[in-house]
Amino acid sequence: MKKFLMPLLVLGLAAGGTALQRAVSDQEMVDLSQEIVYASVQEITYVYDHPTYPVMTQARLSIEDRYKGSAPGELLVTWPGGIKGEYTMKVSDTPALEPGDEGLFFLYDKEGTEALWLTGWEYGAITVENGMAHSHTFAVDHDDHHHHLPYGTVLARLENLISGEER
Amino acid sequence: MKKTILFLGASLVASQAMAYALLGNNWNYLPAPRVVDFTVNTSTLPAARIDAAASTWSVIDGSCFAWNNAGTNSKTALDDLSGMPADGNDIFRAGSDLTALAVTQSWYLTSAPGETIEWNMQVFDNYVWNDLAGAPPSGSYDLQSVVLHELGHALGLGHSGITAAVMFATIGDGVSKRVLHSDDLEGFEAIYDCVDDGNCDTFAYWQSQGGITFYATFPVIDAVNEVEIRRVAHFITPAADGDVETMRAQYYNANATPAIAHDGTLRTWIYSDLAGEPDAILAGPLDVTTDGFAAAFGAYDVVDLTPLNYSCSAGVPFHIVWEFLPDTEGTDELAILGTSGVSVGSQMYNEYPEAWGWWFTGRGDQVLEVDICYTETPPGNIVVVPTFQDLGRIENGMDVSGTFHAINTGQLDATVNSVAVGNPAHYSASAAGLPAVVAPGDSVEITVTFNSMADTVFRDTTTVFVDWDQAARLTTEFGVIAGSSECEFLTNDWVGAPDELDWFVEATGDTNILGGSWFFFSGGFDRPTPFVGHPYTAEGDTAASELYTFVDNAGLDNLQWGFANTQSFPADTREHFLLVYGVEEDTLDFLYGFDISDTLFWETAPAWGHITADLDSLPDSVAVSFFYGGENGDTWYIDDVEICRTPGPCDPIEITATKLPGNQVRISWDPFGGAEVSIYESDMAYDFGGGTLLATVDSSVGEYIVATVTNDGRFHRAEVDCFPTARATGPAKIREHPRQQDRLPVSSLRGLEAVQSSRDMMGPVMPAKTTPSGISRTR
Repeated sequence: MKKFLMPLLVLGLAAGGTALQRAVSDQEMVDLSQEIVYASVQEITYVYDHPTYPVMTQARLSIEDRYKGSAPGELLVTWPGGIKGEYTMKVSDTPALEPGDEGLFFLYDKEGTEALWLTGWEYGAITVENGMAHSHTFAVDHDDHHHHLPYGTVLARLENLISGEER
Repeated sequence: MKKTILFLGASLVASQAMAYALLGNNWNYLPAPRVVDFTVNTSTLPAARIDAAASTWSVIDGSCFAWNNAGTNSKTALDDLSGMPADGNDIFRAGSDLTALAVTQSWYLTSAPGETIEWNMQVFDNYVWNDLAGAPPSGSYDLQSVVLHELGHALGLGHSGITAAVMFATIGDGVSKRVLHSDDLEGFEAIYDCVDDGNCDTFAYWQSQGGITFYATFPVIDAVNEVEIRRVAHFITPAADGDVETMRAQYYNANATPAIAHDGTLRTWIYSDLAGEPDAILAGPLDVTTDGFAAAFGAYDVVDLTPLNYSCSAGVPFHIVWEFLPDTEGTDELAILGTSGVSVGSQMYNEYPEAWGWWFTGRGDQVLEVDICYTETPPGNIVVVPTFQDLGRIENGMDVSGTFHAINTGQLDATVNSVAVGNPAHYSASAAGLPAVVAPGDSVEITVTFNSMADTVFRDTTTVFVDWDQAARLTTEFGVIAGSSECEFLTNDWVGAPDELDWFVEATGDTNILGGSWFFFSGGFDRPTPFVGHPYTAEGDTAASELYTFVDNAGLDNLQWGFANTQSFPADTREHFLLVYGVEEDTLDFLYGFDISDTLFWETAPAWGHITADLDSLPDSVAVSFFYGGENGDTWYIDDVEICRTPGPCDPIEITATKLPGNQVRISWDPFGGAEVSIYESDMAYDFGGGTLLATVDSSVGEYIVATVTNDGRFHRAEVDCFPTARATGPAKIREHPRQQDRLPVSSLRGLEAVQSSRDMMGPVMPAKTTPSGISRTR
């Protein structure tokens, strides 16, 4: 389904995070996701024809590595919230992505449209900068609250889970 | 003018980063007290759980910020704010999500990103929710905990890095988080920082030295003798447990010319005052940079002392010592000090160039007032859930009980002293082990019992009171409907005050409602047949209107109506009836009615009453109308309408009529006790009310009568009046229509234009021939 896209002149949303997720294990993150890709954000747009949310943010991702699924070179990922008219709608657990951001994305098809949703909302977007990943939950040891960890650690965790070695 | 004060302690800042987070948008822009309304879709969520969660936030400091449940909504989807103005903050349950339990969206003007305009909370429906007061069983998610978390978002908090905090990002099944963590409280206070929250101890230096003790280390000169006080101590004996929060100072610089540079560092400690611990440092030093309180006259500067992380206890004395270390020493020249009062003469401020302190000498620079503030730990807060409990119908003579919980949603222990009910004639309340100290998160179980009574109660409610150490609180409502389970309600919103969920009838006009003017609102109740209102004018001194409801295949034996009426002019002429018609094809035949003109009026606030009308054995299709005739406008709420297959305590009566030779008929029945049977002759299958009385017999004595009827060519049946002694006496039965309108073509109703309502208007539709669920005929 073709969305109505509105390119953004001003990018960068306020940080999201106003909801409550059920506790999801790393294995469940992998199992629930239909696509797991390493990708970079090419464009952020807002769409206004969603049946539930008055405004949705869409990110067009360019895939660099694929760990699960069969996504083509580009895909759309969407989450609620954004700017509509003179108002901003901030929605819980949504990521703050900008063009140029890159990282690991856990995605699933929630609505049967071409735009996929983030598994675990913002926790399904693990941004990577200078080799360090910022993960809310995946591969995080919550006892020490260390959310910045080498991407290699995250990737190793992911590959172990996909291969079933940790089952 | 409020100055910016920066923390120097990097380690303190780092520790904060792992704790609470702020979203950036909140309600702090509103003037205190900030009371923010929300509504709940109570058809999808129990208000008790929502209220308990809201209360947990509101009791922190209700004078600063509080949530307020302002009523109900019918939302099932998130709002679009493009149609401003905002329509309020809503909570509802709908939809599903793979991982999110609930979501809160908040709107703000992009140009004013700090000011929340509206929020909406959606609780997803694809989970097993624990919406009870007790702990969530494994596999279910605790609704109160989740809503408590979401309301934290709605007030401006983000996710905390503290796993035990309510605002932590995830929660597992079977987990209860109904009590705020200290990190949640700190986050709240970071947004809604009401400095002068009533817990400040104020010290006025110059104006009132009585009772003020200054703790000075170097050098000390008292005020009268031109003192220099470099380090100042304020002794505090807190009245309640709390956390040291802020210190503020009002600084008066009388010598504004030349300007005095007071940039420097303010260093603060907390010392113990306990015996045997002289000068023991409990916390600190804490250094903050400041521009030296060089504010305009009368302004306050606020020093944030929360990084000291000092929690004080009621009755345990401590003192705060503070010292000012100026960046520039010995450069000030206050050659002339004092303008009145004590002559202090000249004071060399660079007298001690190595320790140029914060000078409170003479009249040149004065600390007028110092407040040491602490935030009191939220006290215990007893909330009783559920807010009401409807046990519905019970059989006569039964004792039934309901369970409530008095939950402590506060932060300190609370003592529950006793429980009681507002209607001890019919109810009793008990709880084991009272008085009981209830720890935060714990609860006391209360059992409320509806007692068996000799007389029959149709609808009855009581309030449940819990007396605890802070207040005797009106908490909840508990009710039952006594009678037979052979009845079915046409409405079910029977608890609480009259509202628009009830059948709401309003007649308008100041005088003589010619033609009537009925407005009826529907919605929120399930009725088996259409409820149709029509203006109806009859001849007579006053105008009259009737509001009809059609019931098909109801097997009516007994009808009970709950009424609440606001009568603005109780002394006026009025005629109010409940009228019963048989319906056969296109004809409404008046059977009989009940005069309720003088029985059910409340001149001020509406209150519920009821009538019980024995409707005899009626045909399949009947119409029951509410007849209003009066000089002035009136408002009626109709609720608790139920139809019964059996008339309360009376057994079903099966009557058989057998034609005998001549004009004789033998009428027999199964004997039963306690009721008087009146037998009428009628030439219509249902027109019992209009027939001729044949006999009145005691049904417990004889089993049959032989009566002479006037027309033996038609079918005859008998009417049964059942008024057992245990039953409340019903209204007077009338046999004549108040307007002699004994017959009325149904089609005439079709031609009338029903009065338009702003709500759910139903046109003049005749009922479909359906059988209401749960009702079956036995004749």
